[in-house]
Formats: sequence, structure tokens, C-alpha cells
Amino acid sequence: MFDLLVAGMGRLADPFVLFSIFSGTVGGIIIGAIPGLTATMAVALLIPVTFAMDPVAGLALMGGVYSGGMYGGAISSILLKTPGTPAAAATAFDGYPLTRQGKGGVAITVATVASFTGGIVSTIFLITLAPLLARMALKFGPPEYFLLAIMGLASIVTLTSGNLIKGLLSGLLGLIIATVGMDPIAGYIRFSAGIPHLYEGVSFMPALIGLFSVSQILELTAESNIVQELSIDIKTLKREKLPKGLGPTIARGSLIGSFVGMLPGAGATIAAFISYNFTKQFSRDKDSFGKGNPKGVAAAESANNGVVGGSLIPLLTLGIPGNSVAAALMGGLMIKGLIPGPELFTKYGEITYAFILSLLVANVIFLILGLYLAPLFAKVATVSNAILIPSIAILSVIGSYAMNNSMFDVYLMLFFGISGYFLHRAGFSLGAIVLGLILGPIAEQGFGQSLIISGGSPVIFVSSPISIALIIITLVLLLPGIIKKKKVDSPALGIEREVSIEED
Amino acid sequence: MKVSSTNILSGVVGIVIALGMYLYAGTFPSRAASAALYIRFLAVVLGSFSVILLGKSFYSKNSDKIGWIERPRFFFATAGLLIVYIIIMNVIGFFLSSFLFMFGLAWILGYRRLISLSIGSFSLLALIYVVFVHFLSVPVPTGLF
Repeated sequence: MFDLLVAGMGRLADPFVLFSIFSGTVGGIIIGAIPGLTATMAVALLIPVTFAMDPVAGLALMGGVYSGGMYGGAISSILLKTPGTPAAAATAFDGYPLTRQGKGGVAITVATVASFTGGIVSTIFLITLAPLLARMALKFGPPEYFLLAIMGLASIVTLTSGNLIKGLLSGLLGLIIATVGMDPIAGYIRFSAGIPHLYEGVSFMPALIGLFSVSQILELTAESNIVQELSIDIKTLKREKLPKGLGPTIARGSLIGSFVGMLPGAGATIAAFISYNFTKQFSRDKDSFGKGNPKGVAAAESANNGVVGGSLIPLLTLGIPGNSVAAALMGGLMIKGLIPGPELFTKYGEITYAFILSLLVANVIFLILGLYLAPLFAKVATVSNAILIPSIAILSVIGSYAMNNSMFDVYLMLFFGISGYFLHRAGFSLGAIVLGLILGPIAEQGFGQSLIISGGSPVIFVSSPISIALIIITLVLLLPGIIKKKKVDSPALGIEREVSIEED
Repeated sequence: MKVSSTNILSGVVGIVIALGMYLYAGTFPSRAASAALYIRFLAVVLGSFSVILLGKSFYSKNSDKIGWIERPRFFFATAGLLIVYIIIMNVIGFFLSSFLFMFGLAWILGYRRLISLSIGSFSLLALIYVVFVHFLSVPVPTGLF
């Protein structure tokens, strides 16, 4: 492992890789700061760009967007009246009141340092824990992979907002769409309606871009300009020192974020709220929360950035994305032929470790940029929807076209975009559909191979301890969704919003 | 449309798709037996969840209304222009159609600063040219001319 880690570090010395991390991080901060735009959308749009790039540079670019995007949400939470991402909603509880008290600079410093620490801690977890988990995956056979796919789907579905059955139906819809084209065992063509473009299945990229980008721009048409004016004159914002006494809060938030991120289906929003509530509960000055306590900002930001590394652990080792950004990242990995599992830490170890280490660099970059240029990013975030909507549409079109140089893929993107918009409005989860699309081939291959091995007997799915454990975990994961729908209160903004991993 | 009505409709559509999938799997040749079984497995699960959704919708009525389209003018302008843009791209090429689309849609959505819009459009298309055409060698649609 150590050799691969050193080799991965060597790959980062390439100036082009460093440039990729820098541009990804800057792009991520801007996208994260603009309410309505998500890191998921950015990663989806970036995959075609990274297709012809060196794998390390391509993955580093996407990793930079993920890290930067998670941090960028804090800037608009603090300096504008709107959180840039749902994960930064808890940051606004105390960040925005601090700005109104003329302490916006303090809030930005706290958010930046807490985000940096959360990101570093979770990446260290990723480096140490992922290889161990990947080695465990060697014991998995076809039945276990089938059950793992079902478990992944169940976990992400149950934590989506709204109706549990609709969440499950969304995942199932993804699995069904994934059956279009040749089956992986016998090569029999199904559901293709005689269209040759569908013989090899529904292209993943147009579906991903359509569901995450085109449906989002249609959502943006609901409001003329989702960002309000800057609540302060940015010229008056001074760079401040980090207040004392925040160390334990940041450490706790980083650990909570890393742990919650590891749970497939949980996300940065949940982690931030858990950390915020913990900090509030343990505080001797509970009443100051929601009125501008820097600890509130530190708790939320360290946790939501802690999720970045944590969410990559199940992704890189088992192929189960921790949240929707990780699902989009998985698409990027698979397009490069990097299939999650033990090989990522052996055969492709150099690339994988370079990618993981690039997250550390991205954290350093946003630490420096955040401390010195946060107001500038906030200014950029006020860009009008009238400019954003056509710009994203054009990038979506060229992104879908670029993978296969095919107009059919553009039509497919349009179909998924418009369908996705209405499905989302009807309460279905787009993240779960994408996850179903990703996990569909794994599930079908595992299902088919298992039945061939067992001569058609379904008993094979309950014949090993790992299979039984996976079934039990799936059932346990379904429980919270059945018991209650999680809701959280947002005191600073005076709104009630549902916890949703879909938008993380 | 009410949430409960949408759920009922979703349940019915789910059941119809499940039945269709189950019957269609019966037409698979014997060499694709595992594929047929997988499709039937999905059909049974889809049918079951759809029945549950249908049952729950009848049992607990949710009278909240779904706001399908909040600003119809902007929504239809965006969706409509996007469709037109994709169609005319095959005729006049990617860059010209993109420029017209950017200008047209931004204008309809209420953006009136022509200089910023021109600079924004030009910068975006220049970026796409550098990244996709120059760097990635993607042959963008050139149109008929």
C-alpha cells in the first residue's frame, strides 16, 4: 500500500494534474456557491470532458469539484440569504446572523477552516479504511454482488425525502431502464424497439446529464433569480482570525461527517444537521445557537466536508455510492474502465491513491482561496438564472453528444431531462433512478450467474453468511424509512425542509 | 392534480408496465432463460410496490396539490427553445445554433444587458471550442452548410 501511495503522490507532481485539481476546486466553489446548481450536476457535466484526459487528471478534476462544491455552499449561506447547497443549510443558522452582526469575516474564516479540517480527516479515513474494506470484497461471489446491489439501492432510496414506496419504485425504474439492450449473460436484446442505438443499452451519460442537469434547469425556470442581493458590501468584509475554542467542535464534526458519509445513502445534509444538533446539545450556551454562534458554523461545515472522503469509501471498495455526487463520480470511474472493488487498490492502485491524495490538495486550495477570495465567489453566485439556464443547456447538449458523437444521445438526454423533471415533481427520486441505472448491470449479472451456478435454485441467495448479513442490513436500512420521515427545522431561515440526500 | 391522484395514476401505470414486462419475458428464447427470470423478478417487485402505492393512496388521501409548472411562460420557453435548438443544430451547426439559443432564451427569460450577454455567450462558446474541439477533438455537429 505504501509503495502505491508514494507512486500516487508522484502522479500529483504533474503540472497538468495540479492544474486540474485547481480548476476543479475553483469551479466547484463557484457551483456550490450558486443556489440551484449542485456538485452532482457539475460532475455529470464534467465526465465527457474528462473522457480523453489522463485518468488521474480527470478524476482529480472531479474530486476538486466535489470538495470545492461542498465548501462553496457555505459562502452563500453566510454572505447571501440562501444556502448554496442543502448541505450548507445548517451553516446558515449561525453564519447569516453573524454576517448581519458585521462578523461575516469571522463566519467565513470558521467555515473555511472547519471545511478544510473535515475534508482532511475524512480523506485520511479513506486512505486507511478503504483498502481494508476492498480486501473484504474479494470474498464476494455473484449472489453477494446481486444482494449488494439491492442493498445499495435500498439504502439510498430509504433516505430520500418523501414517500418510501415512490423511492423504491424510482430505484426499480432505474433497474428496469438498465435492462434495455443486450442481457449480460446470453446477449439477448430486449426492450430496444428495433433502435440500433439501444442494442448496447441506454447510454449512461445522456441519462445522467438529462436527469441531473436538464431537469434542474427546468426547475430553475420556477424562479427568476434564486439568489437575492448580497446582504453586505463585500468591500467591508475583512479577513478575521479563527476564534478560540472551536477545536473540539471541528474535531467532532469531522468525525461525524466521515462516519455518516460512509453509510450508503446518508449524505452531507444529514451529517451537518447531526453535528449541529450534537454541538448545540453539548453546549452550555444553547440559546446562542441560531443567533450567530461560530460553533454552529464550525459544526455544520466540518461535518458536511467530512462526508466527501467518507462517501468515497463504499464507492471505491464496493461500488455503492454514498450519495448522488458519488453516484455521478462512479459514472466517471466506470467510463474510464475503473471498476470499484479490490483492483482499484492493487492493479489500479497508483491512479486510485493519486485521486485520493488529490482530495487533500483540493482541500488546501479551497482553504487558501476561501480565506482570501470568498467575497468574490459570493459576488459570482449572484449570476442571473437567465444566463445560467441557457449556459447549462448548451453544456448539457455538447456533453451528451461528445461521448459517442451521436445526436441520438442528445435526444436521449432531452427525454430523460423532461421526464426527470415531471417524475421529480411527482415525488420520485432522480438520485435513486441513477443509482438503479448504475447498479442494474451488476444486479443482473449477479442474479444470472448465481442461478446458473445453483441450477436455478434461489436458495443460493441465502446460502452464505455474507449473503445473510447483506439481507439483514438491507432490512435494517429499510426500517427508518418505514418508521418515520425525517424532518429538520431551520431556525435562521424560518423554513422547514425535508432531509434529502438527493441534492447533496 | 392532487398527490393522491398522482399516486393512483403511478400505481396503475406501474401495474400495467409490470404485467407487460412479465408477459414479454415469456417470449424470450430458452438460451436467455436467466434474462427472462430477472425481468420477471423485476416485474413482480414492480407490480407489488405499485399495488402497495395504489392501496396506500386509496387508504390515506393526500389532498395536497402538485405544482407541475410554476411559471409556465418560462418553463415552456425553455423546454420549447431547447427542442428547437437541438433540431436546428443539425441544419445550421452547433456554434451558430448555440449562440442564437443563448441569446434568445436569455432574452425571453428577462435578461436585457446586451453587452454582458454577448461577452458571456462568446466566452462560453470559446471555452467549448477550446475544450471539446481543440483539446478533446470532438467533431461537433456542423450542420448542412
